[in-house]
Amino acid sequence: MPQSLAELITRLDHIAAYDGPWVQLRDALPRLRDQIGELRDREDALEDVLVIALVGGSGVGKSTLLNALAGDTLARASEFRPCTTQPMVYAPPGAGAAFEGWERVTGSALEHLVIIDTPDSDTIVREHRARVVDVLRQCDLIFVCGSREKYLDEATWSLLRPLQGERALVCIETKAQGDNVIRDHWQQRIREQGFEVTDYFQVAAIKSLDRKLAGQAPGPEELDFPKLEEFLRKELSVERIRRIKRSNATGLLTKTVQSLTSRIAETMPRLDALDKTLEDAEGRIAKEALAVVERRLFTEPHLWAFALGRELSLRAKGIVGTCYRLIEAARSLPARISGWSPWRAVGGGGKQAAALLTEKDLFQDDLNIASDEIGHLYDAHHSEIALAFAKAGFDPPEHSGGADALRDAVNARVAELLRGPARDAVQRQARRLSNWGVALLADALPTAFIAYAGYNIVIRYFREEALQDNFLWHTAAVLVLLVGLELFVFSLLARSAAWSARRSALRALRVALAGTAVAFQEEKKAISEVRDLAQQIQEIEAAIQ
Amino acid sequence: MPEPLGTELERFAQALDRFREALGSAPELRRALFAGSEEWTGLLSYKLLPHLAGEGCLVVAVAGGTNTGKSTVFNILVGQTTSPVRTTAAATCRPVLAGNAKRAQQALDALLLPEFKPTPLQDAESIVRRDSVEDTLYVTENAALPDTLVVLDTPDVDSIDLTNWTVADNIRATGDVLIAILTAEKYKDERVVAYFREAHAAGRIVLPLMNKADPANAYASAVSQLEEFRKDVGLGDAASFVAPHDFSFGEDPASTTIASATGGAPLRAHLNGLDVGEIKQRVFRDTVTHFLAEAETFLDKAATTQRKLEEVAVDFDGRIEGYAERYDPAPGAAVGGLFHEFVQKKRSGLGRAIGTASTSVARGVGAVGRAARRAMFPSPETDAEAAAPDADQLHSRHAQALERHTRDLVTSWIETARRTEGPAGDLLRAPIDALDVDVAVPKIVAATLRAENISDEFRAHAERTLEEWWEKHPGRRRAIEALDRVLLIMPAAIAAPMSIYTAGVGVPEVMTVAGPLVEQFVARVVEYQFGDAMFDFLSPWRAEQRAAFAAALRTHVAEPVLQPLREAAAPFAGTPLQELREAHDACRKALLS
Repeated sequence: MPQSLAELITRLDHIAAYDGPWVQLRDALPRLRDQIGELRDREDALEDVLVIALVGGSGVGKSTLLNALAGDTLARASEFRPCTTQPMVYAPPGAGAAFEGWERVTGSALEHLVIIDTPDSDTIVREHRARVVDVLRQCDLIFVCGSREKYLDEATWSLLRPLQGERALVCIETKAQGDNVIRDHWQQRIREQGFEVTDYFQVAAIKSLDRKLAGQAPGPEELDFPKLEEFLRKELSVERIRRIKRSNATGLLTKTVQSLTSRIAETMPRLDALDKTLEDAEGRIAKEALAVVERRLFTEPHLWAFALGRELSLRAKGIVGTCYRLIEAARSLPARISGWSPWRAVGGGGKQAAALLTEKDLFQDDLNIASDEIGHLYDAHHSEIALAFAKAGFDPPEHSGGADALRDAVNARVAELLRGPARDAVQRQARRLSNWGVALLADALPTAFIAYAGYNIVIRYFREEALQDNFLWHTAAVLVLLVGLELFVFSLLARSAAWSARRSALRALRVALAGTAVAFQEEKKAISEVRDLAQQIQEIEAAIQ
Repeated sequence: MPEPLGTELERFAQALDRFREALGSAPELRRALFAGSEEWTGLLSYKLLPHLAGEGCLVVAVAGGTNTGKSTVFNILVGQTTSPVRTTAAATCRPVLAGNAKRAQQALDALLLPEFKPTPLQDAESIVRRDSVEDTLYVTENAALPDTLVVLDTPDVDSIDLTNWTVADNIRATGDVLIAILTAEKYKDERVVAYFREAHAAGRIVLPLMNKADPANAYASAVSQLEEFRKDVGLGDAASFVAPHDFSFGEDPASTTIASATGGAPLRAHLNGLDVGEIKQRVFRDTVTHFLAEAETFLDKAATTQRKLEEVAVDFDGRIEGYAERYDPAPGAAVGGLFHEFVQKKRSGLGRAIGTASTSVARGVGAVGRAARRAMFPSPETDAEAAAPDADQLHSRHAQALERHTRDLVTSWIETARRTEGPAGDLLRAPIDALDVDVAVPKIVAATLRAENISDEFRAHAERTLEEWWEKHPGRRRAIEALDRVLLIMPAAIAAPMSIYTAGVGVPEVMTVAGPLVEQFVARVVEYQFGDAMFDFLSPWRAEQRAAFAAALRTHVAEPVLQPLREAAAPFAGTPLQELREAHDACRKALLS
């Protein structure tokens, strides 16, 4: 395994924390969490002693085998069924503290092993079965005990089937008579069922126990019993124990990940269809939202003229410019007065937009441009999206949440646009109109006229000619006409500048609304999250293999 | 066998077959419904119906867990090695029947156990071959058996060969007497105890036999183990037997006897001494009683299933109304004006002329007013909203709404179907997955919006409503006509004296314009305030549109989705289940009489 077990478990943990709308995965999570818990226990116990469970039908001689291994009558054995009611833990001194509530004998000479004798798996006392399941959960290696009458019992094998691949199996034929009939038949049928058995021992435990109690040397009638003892003492080295535990954990991990991958495989093709539906709907919504904003906001000529006028009134220079500023101040007086009043009403979209185009802090929080129409836009597409989500096995997105999100997204973008590029465009136009060149050009004619009038007065003084009676009146009238004409031209220029500022802002709006995602942010996030999880699961699977 | 009961049982079996067949369209539902019914259907077809030629003959079945020595006991009973004895588990996989010449011939003629294919036993090894045909019954002739007994050797019920279980269950259903072969290791096994408890409850006679027992102290431990077994199964103090743990036991079947553990006669003698007639009758009666009780449980289960299916169907169908209610059809044209137009149409000669004149004056003034307002307060927002949609726009708006509600309905179905458990959920999920909403929607739109121009259609509909009202309420009609005349004449009536009084300076001109305006104004107020409330020409149209929508949803969406469910539920509501119930009642009556 290229990655450590702990690392993979952490990654699985990340998947188990999923809380999104993907129902299929969410349904699998409780089981996944259980499995992660078990994996974590197994990972923690990699360095611990090996736990062996003696499992088998009632009366095959599990307790007798334990007694024979211990060389003492630890567990009660009898011919009346069922005999063992509680699991018995046979552990070396100092070990086995984890198995609380069960009978415990600490005198084993096998330092690295804990052997648990289980109750039967098949009698009418149902609680026994539950206790066996409990022991099986905690053990690392299973000694399946079988006798001539009970080695292919459904009751026992149905307990082992869910653990297939997660536990190492060793078969022990108890009450053996030295022939290989059972051995061959048993091994063949187990393989047919898909189990893998690492070792096989034939024992006659009662004889071994008697011999041990009598203190004699082992004889040939004990069959494989000495080999079994040797196996427990020597072959189950620390290295081998670690290997068994690791392979058990890997088996569980593989199963966990496989159940996840099968779920993903069901969903992936649907995700693509979902993506396509979302993309289509998003394109349509962006186009429609653009149309709405354009219709609502950009067809208001007042808005742009007002904004540009305000900018000009801050900057305009020269005679004509000053006159323009005075006129602008008078024109915007009603708006200013309403702005000063403490109970001024929050304006509609147009007024808000004007505020955003000019001042920074006004209406910042509750910009409300065409909210109702955009809400309708979402309504029109919601059912389609909800159906696509439901078909793909997701929770459909909530109606109100989606509409709000869309409204907020559009409003935020429009506000950003008005505050940014649109205001820049207006200011650029204002600057262009109020630079010194334009001011000088505009002032040139009135200035020249004033100079000409002054020259006339001075010449007449020196020539001692009298001025005409209405000279001053005429001069003033012409000057006023000239300035008025210039103001008119300047206003026309301002109007056309406002128009071009609007056009460049519109271009920016198209980019802002159509260029990047505006609708279904949440929904897309959910899908990409699922893709991300699928990717992770596949990576974990690859890492295991 | 009592005659009427046999006929009724036959009828029940046929009704059951018909019911099973009727459920063919929903295999999963059938599987779920018939799960757990193997025992009593087995009793019916293997025990109760074939009760033909077996009169006066007890069927003794040797039964027990794997490797307990069933075949050994069978061989002892028939007095010779017939069924091969193996040390490995799950060896016997096909049943063997032994009887004397007459009984063996009856078995071969399929008169004793007609549900199995009888085959004469040529080669003993075929009994342990796992690839033979599943319902084979090997028949062997044995002269030593009395006329009153046939003996069956059976496969085990607890090994991992699950196919053996079914064969064993079926063959054992035919037995009158079951010899329960036990060993010290298996007498407490759940599967074994449960099996014999069931057999005992179904009326069979169970004779426990402790095989491979320790002969020490006159089988003391075996006797107490047998006692425990009898208590677990509920046998009371039935005769029990023991056989010793001895590998040579049964090697010479003819001379081996199986001793009683309860102080009675040995097994063979006990079997020979049974009162065949009495046992036959008792077993039959108990079996029928048991069978009827089980069948009743099944009928209850069927009723529950039916209720569940119907609940789901009703729930799904009921939502259609709810979603159709959400469709809020808008006629697209001003509703108030309709009544005005209608009244105008009902006016005669002079009245109509005055009405036409006043309407056109009001229209002209209205147009001028609107233009002035637009010039003074330009606002694109109000313009966009005020503009009435044209026919195409209105149609597409309706189509969109219909599409939306259809989709929402299907979404809610998908959600519910996903949460629905059991066969009902399976029956729903597949057709919903297959449903293509995009194909169904145009059909629904076409069926709901019957006309291209919705406004016109609505107008025609409203006209009909008004016409109907006009016919139906002559009193109110007259009142309205009177009111109309007053309104029509009032401006002129005011204008005439005024112009006379003021010697005609200015007032007639003012009145020419103001009179019709007043009339129009009052008429509009009356119509808008009371028109819809009085004549209610909008809601019948709305209701009609909604009903059309609901009907279209039923045809194009609900039909394909609920079809499998309804098909599956049909046999429950129809004759097959009804017949089954009747047959069950008839059986019960026949048994009591």
